[in-house]
Amino acid sequence: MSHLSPDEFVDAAAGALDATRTAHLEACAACRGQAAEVASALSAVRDVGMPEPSPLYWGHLSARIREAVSRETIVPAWRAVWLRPFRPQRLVPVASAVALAGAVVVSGLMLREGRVAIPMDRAVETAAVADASMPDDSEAWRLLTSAAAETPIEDAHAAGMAVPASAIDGAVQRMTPDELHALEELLQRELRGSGE
Amino acid sequence: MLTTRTLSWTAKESGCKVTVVNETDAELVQACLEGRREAFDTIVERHQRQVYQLCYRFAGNHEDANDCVQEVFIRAYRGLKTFKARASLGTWLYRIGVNVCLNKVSAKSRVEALDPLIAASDERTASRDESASEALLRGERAAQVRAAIARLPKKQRATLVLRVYHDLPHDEIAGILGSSVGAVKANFFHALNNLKKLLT
Repeated sequence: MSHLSPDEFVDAAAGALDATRTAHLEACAACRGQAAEVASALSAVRDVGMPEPSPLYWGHLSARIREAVSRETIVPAWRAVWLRPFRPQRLVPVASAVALAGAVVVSGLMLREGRVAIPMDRAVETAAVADASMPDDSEAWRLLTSAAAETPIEDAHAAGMAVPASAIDGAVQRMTPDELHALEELLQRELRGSGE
Repeated sequence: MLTTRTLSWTAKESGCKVTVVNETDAELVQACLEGRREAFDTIVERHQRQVYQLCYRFAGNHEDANDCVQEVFIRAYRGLKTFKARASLGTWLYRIGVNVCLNKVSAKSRVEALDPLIAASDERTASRDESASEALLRGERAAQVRAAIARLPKKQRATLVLRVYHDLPHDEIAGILGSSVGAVKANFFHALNNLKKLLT
């Protein structure tokens, strides 16, 4: 029969070993020796008492905890769960990206519709950029998305880069399916990034 | 730990008004969540001794234990909304206590070097008939055991403290430590084996 396992030595120390294994323990010198070691260590640990703090200590401890707790607020669980994705630090990059993307889209559409006057010497160059609809791999697009990810919304507003919500709505309604798809991918990427 | 309806008395300074607090732990938690901050005072008064003992056994000195106890109750207050009423508040506090102690109490934590004579007078088994030399030996032995416990790996130390000093069953310890009953028993066995080696 096999020797006692660690679990069984613990059970033996607690007097909870089953009859078959108890019979082995009584017959096996090696297991008896190990069980005696365990019992001896347990006895040494049990013999150690604990210094009792002063009776005044408990009142002081309660008072200190009361003071610390008075500075705390309990947020209901449902609110904590619902608000988690909307914490300001998570929203800032998303909002920045949305604002900058909006600004780019509106500017592009305004250029395409000829609402913005451009000096003739730059008109050809600018129109070429607008007609290309800012493909993902363009240098300008990479620069803008990179700046959007790193620019807090407050800084974007301060720099006059924000656009009214109504302008964004109008611009989105005039977007081509490809432009909508690109915008959707950009927003999803930003939302995924902010959720990490 | 108190898990059933109990009576405790609180003397209010103003007019020495005495109030009976006979709410269960679950009722006190609910009261806290409804904004009755004083209900948490009762929870603290009810459980602070057990939490202190747990922290002291881990830390081995009063200062660190004191810091840990405060941290345990602050974390408990912040997390009250996550407490499930079907569980024992005491066990939940033990779980927080073990986590706080495992994080805050390092292996280098100073184990209170008690004067053996003073330590001997603190031991619960010291008897009046014990001679001075016997008391001295008992105190020295207790200091050695405390130091040895402080040197155990964290999970072994947690298992040993909860099993021996708080008399918790293996399954409850498993719940607190997030492990299986088998792992708890194995940890307990290895803790005792390591102690034996450290003490010889």
